[in-house]
Amino acid sequence: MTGFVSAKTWRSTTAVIALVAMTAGADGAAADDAALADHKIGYTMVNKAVAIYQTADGKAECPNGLNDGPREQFDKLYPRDGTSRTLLETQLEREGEIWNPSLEKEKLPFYEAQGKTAIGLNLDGKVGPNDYTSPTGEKGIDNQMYRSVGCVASYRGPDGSYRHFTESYMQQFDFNRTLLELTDVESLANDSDVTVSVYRGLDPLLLDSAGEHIPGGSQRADHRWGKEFIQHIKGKIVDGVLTTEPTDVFLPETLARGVAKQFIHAWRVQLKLSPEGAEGLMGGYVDVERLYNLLGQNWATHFRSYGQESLPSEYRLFRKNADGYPDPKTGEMTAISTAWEVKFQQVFIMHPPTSVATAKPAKQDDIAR
Amino acid sequence: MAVFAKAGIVKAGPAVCLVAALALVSCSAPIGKDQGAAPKVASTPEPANDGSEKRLRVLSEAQYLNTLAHVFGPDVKTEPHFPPAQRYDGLLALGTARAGVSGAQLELYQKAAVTVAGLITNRERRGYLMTCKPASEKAADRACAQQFLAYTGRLLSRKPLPQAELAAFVETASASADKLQDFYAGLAIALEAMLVSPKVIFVAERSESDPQHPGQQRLDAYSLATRLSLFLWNAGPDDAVLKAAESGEILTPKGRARVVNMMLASPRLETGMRAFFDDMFAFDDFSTLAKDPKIYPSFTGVTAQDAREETLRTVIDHLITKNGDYRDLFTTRDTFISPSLAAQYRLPAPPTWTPYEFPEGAPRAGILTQISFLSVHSHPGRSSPTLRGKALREILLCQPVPPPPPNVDFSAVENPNSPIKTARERINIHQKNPACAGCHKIMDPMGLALENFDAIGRYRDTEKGAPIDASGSLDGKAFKDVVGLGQVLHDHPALTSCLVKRAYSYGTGGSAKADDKDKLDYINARFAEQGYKLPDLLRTITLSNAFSRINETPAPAATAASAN
Repeated sequence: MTGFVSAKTWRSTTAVIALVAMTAGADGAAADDAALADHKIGYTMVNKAVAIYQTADGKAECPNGLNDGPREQFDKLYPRDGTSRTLLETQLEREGEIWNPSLEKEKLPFYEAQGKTAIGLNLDGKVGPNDYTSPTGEKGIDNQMYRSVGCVASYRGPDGSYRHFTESYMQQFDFNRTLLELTDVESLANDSDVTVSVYRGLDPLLLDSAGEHIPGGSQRADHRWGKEFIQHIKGKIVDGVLTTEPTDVFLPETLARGVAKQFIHAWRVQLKLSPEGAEGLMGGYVDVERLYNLLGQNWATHFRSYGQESLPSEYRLFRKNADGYPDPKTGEMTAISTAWEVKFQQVFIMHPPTSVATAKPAKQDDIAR
Repeated sequence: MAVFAKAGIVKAGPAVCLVAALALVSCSAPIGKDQGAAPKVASTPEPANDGSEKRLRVLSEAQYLNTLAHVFGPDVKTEPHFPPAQRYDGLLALGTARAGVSGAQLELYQKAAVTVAGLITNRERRGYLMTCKPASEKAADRACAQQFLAYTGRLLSRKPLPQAELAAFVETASASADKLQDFYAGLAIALEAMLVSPKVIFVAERSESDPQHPGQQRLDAYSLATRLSLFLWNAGPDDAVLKAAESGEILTPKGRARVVNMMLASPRLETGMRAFFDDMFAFDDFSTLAKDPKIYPSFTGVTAQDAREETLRTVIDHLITKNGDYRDLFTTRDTFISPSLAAQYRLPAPPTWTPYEFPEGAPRAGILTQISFLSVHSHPGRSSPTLRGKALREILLCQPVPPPPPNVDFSAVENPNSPIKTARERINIHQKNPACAGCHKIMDPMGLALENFDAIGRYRDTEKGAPIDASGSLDGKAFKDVVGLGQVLHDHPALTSCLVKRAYSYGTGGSAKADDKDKLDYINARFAEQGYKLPDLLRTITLSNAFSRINETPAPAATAASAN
């Protein structure tokens, strides 16, 4: 007996999987059959990074170089030229700006990413004037987040500060466990109608002897405190690629403090599936105010300084480049199109024996809770 | 052939000779006929016998730590890293009677003693670990020191301290306290001295004349209490067992039965039996187990640790909790899994240890098919029917297999570019070489039955694309797969007689000798009569004359006297 499910129940629910796994053939085939037992397969997210199109030297998308961060901006705003300045006029003013961002014209230059190429998804099904073309030639890519932060070191690979800590905290904190469970799956190659359920998981990621993520772990879906993360979405698999219908979701994302979830409008995935994992993109529209609050609360200035990430400067671009979900009163766009490169590993997802959780659309109203 | 360690007493007698004889037995001889003979059915009383020898043993690290935990509580911990004993006749426990103690090892004992004494007398613990409170914390208090050291000394040295020794410890505590102006600092120094004293570190058994059997010797009450406790609990005796020794109750048949039953009913039995099976199964090999991370990246240190734990949990659950038949350990589908093991078994698992039953028809049945046995008896990069077969013979059937001759040409079986696909084909090479065939034919047919599991115990039914044939035979009994092997093993007479031999050796601290045959036959028969239940076996052994009677033979010069 364990604290989560009774041993008896757990035994019975795993018996089918066990039998298939144990009687299957070679390792690869066995993993495939075991993972797809009962027409289900589970995955857990192990990597997530804002999709940034980068050329080798970065000059094409960032001809002016990378943007200044808090330290560089501070030095330029308040040069050590003998001028006497008070704490209120300098440090406190800059700190205050973080919590009271302004749309007034930037005193210092802050550059958008240039070019017509970006990684992402066509979220609105249209090809608009601000849309990008993907590196593989797909038109209509919506990723205005890339335009806003493509020249901020923190977001750029391979080791931008935000990238690094997002991945690091995904491993460190079991809270940051996004699960996808595909049910009614006939084949990982093609299936026109599958159900994709989103859960928050409760358990650590499985690592190999070198500390790399590997498939085959187990995750308990959080049906108790993670109800707000639960979604059941329709999807389809074509040539091994899963796509899903757009749905508003919360995804768990705590970075040690502050806001512990990210709200995404019209979220969807485009993932290449295998029995061992899934890899590809997820996209949607991120509410600008909520994102700014998340970044401000979760990231201390020293983290942002490592990544040369000036939050007040980013805010201006988020608002300027927002391209979705107009405010009903003002018509001003409130959300910004975003794409993430994501990677999942196969896991066995376990549910409590008597789950009472039901799908509940994530709503903007929930943000206030 | 004799081994006389400075601190150990072991006779070069028949015990060693028997080991040598078994090791040198020709591989062509039909193993299993004489060594694995079915025990004679005998519900008759124990045959007359001369018991076992007195031992001088050094406490193992686990016994030292278990004793400390029992006396002071589980949070009084140290990591002494005492050197492991050398394995003799299948058991590390027998090595503790052959071990010397070097100067470097004494330093380890002292370091551990300093740590433990500090933990016991520190401000957080002294309030509940001390049996009295000094009149002043800044001065000696002989009465309080005496009370605590007498209480502690009795439990640590497994008998009451003689008055002179106690007085010396009290004097050390008092003089140090006065000098340091700190009662607890002084007490810690005395406690440190006690913890490194030979009476704590060594187990020196004593014998006395048996009034019920004139002319015969028996263990004295305290030595019997300690032998029982190290066997059943892997720790020193507690207050209740010592009281039975102090009163002499433990020396009466009725009193001894009461004490044994009390010890068998104690939760400490689980600790003791975990230690025994960990030793018998040679699970100390896990401390050095490593797999090639390029071939088996999923096999981590946690996997190895959990694999060991899985089998020990299965053993304890089956043999103690369920009081099951020992033979069924090799056919049971019940086990326990952790998240790390579940990844190898390709199963879901909650984050904690969970009981699990492999479904009917699955190729996992019995502890042979658990990751522990499969991984520890494989090469870092591939499975090994030979290593697995050898382990099965030696560990489970007590049938030593000689080492390979020094001039073996391994090139044919170790060629990485060989066109040979399966282990069966590779091993067939041995069968063509008469120098190899003799031994390989007693190991390989059993090991090949486990070829459906790779070097980390993951299931497979092909190797390099070729189907795996897991059929084989064990001493004339054919089987088609590993489940069949488990059943044949279940019915093999040497399986139970091997456990009896190991348990008796482990309990009495020395190798079974050729002239122990009658005793072992008796224990085997009782074991069979009682349905091969471990608690019954332990009761039979511990209540036997063979366990408590002492075969007093002149010992060599370096004897237990050094610890007295």
